[in-house]
Amino acid sequence: MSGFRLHEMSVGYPARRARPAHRVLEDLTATAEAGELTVLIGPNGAGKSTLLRTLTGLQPPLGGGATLDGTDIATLSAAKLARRLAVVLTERDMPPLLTAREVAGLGRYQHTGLTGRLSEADADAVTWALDAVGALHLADRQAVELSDGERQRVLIARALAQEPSAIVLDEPTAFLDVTSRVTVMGLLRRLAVERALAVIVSTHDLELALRIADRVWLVTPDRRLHSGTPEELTLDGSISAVFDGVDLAFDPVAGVFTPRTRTGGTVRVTADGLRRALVERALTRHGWRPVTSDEADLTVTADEDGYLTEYGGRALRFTGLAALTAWSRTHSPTPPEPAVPAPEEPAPAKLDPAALEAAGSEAVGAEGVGTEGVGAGGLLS
Amino acid sequence: MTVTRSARPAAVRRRTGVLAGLAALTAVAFVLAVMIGSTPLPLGSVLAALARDADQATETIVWTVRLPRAVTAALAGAALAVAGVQMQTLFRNPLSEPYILGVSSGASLGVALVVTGWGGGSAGAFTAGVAGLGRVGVVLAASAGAAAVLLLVLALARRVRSVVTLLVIGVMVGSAAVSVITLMLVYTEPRLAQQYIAWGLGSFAGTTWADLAVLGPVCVGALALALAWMKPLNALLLGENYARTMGVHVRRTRTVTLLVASVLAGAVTAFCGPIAFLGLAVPHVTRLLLGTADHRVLMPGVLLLGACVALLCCVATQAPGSGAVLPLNAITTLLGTPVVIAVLLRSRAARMGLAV
Repeated sequence: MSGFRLHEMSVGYPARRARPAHRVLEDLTATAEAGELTVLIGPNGAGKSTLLRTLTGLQPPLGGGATLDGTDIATLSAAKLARRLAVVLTERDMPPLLTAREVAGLGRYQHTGLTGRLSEADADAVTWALDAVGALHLADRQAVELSDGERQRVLIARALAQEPSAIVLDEPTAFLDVTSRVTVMGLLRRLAVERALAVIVSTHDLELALRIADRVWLVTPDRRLHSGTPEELTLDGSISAVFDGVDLAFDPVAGVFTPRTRTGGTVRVTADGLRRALVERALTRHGWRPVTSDEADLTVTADEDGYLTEYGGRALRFTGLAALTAWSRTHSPTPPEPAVPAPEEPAPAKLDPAALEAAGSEAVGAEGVGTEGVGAGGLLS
Repeated sequence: MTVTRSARPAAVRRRTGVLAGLAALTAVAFVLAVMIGSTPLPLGSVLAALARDADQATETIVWTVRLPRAVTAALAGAALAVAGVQMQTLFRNPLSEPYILGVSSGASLGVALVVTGWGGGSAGAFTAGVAGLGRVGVVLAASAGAAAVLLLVLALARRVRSVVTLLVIGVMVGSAAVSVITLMLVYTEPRLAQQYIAWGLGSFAGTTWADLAVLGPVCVGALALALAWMKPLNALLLGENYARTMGVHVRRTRTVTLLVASVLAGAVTAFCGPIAFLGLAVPHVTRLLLGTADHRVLMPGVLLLGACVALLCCVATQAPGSGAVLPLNAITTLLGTPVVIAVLLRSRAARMGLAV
């Protein structure tokens, strides 16, 4: 039994004097397998950090428990747990006058003797860890001078140097630019597969998470945890139920969030591939709904000189897309009624996870064919 | 690309070189401290006196005045500097040290309670009158006072993250302790109050061999414990939560470190008075010299530089020509003030953590 198993675990803060116990999340049952990247997502303040702090032994569970490789975490001493589980916290203050190698070397704490001197084997493990995260060239740089992304890689190297069987990371991609975010998540997935590690990551980057995760733990506002593959949770509507708002809606096919606009007028765009997509995107932002039929309120035709539009029987010419966009903003027809904040298309029939499990993985594929959710699945392969 | 397996050889060479240099410098400073005093002695007669081979007067000066003073200075400097490093890492605050955070004042309060309570005190330093078991009692009281202040400041420090706020809190706690002492002194004999003021200026010269029989083992023991307990301090550089996830027993580490720092600061304060800024300046200078915050290298370096600087301060208190002795704290404060200002200016940029 490798990896994490949560068993009816409740997390939160115990009762104190007059205050009753505050249960942040209740009755959590989920798994995070070795060799897989498990991503923890949920709204702000839903209790992701509390769950991770409990998993890493920084605070005790209020009920139930979790096992790591078959051993109850609560029964392990801090030292024994540190040999199995490494943690990357949100704290990123680096001490001055330590090199990246020295920071990574701190991960050898449980492997060194009383003086903390690194043996050759320890030094090799540190070098390997730095190499694995692509930070070997940073080894002799001062840790405080590294960029956020480099720093994060060094902290992951420190976790790897512990030689754990599982790594838990709290928001490792926060404050990183887009490329670093993708790099860090890709790195974590590769480490999970190559080193057979159970990797649990919390993140706000939902789109990236659904693309790259093997398994998703979704914290819901009703203090529960839904666990499944990204496709399962997308198909059964859990993702939309948690994240869809008045202004944003999750597009399950593209796997991205799109602004939910009050579509008033329809527009038909005639242009070549990319140009058409961009014009449609720009107009969608201002409340127009692209259609292909001839009976559109507005028609836009792109040619060499710009954009020829027809609206209400009048023809207008715009030299650039910016001018067209500016015009479309002021001329968007008011919607007939306020848009209802609900998914436009009916959610596909709910899949019974138990039935899926019984039927095996092929059934998921078969079930998925014909539904739009398969598009999201295709992105992964 | 050729990448060495451990730290760069150049960095290792530098650290070894600096440590060797500090050891040599400390030895030189020790000899200087024995040579220079109200009557300067040439190196030859000092060596002769050490070998019990000089005239009676020189032997008396060297053995009853200079040697105890030099040994006290070396011990006190090493003790305060090591306590400074421990507190800076524990508080994750570059301005932590026994004097600034009021720990020395707490120790003074403990001492004042014992001394005025027994009405003792004959001549010389404040605590000179206390003999025999009383010396141990004074050390215990001073350590307890230091520990009380440290616990209080640590509890407050966990609520504030700002370097400057903690500094102000330390100054306030220290002032409160001094005020309590002042109130106590009102009800004691004026002679004792005067001795307290003289003692408060700090001096390495008031200790006898009998005092050193207590101060020596206490300091050496606490320093040994500090050196043996430095591995968790390295893990604490990343913060308490990281240390905990690496399997460090954080509460035990905090307790032991606080205890050692209290005993170091308390014992030194009991015999030498509150010594300013040594515990602050020495760790920062050592970090810059060694180029690392790794306690395995830093601790020995701090220990050596602390002893060295205290010995040199001791030499500097001998005003040239006049034969007068300058107050020790005047010298150490002049030394420490620029370091405090530099740290404050730099820590604004670094926001928090161990600046410099």
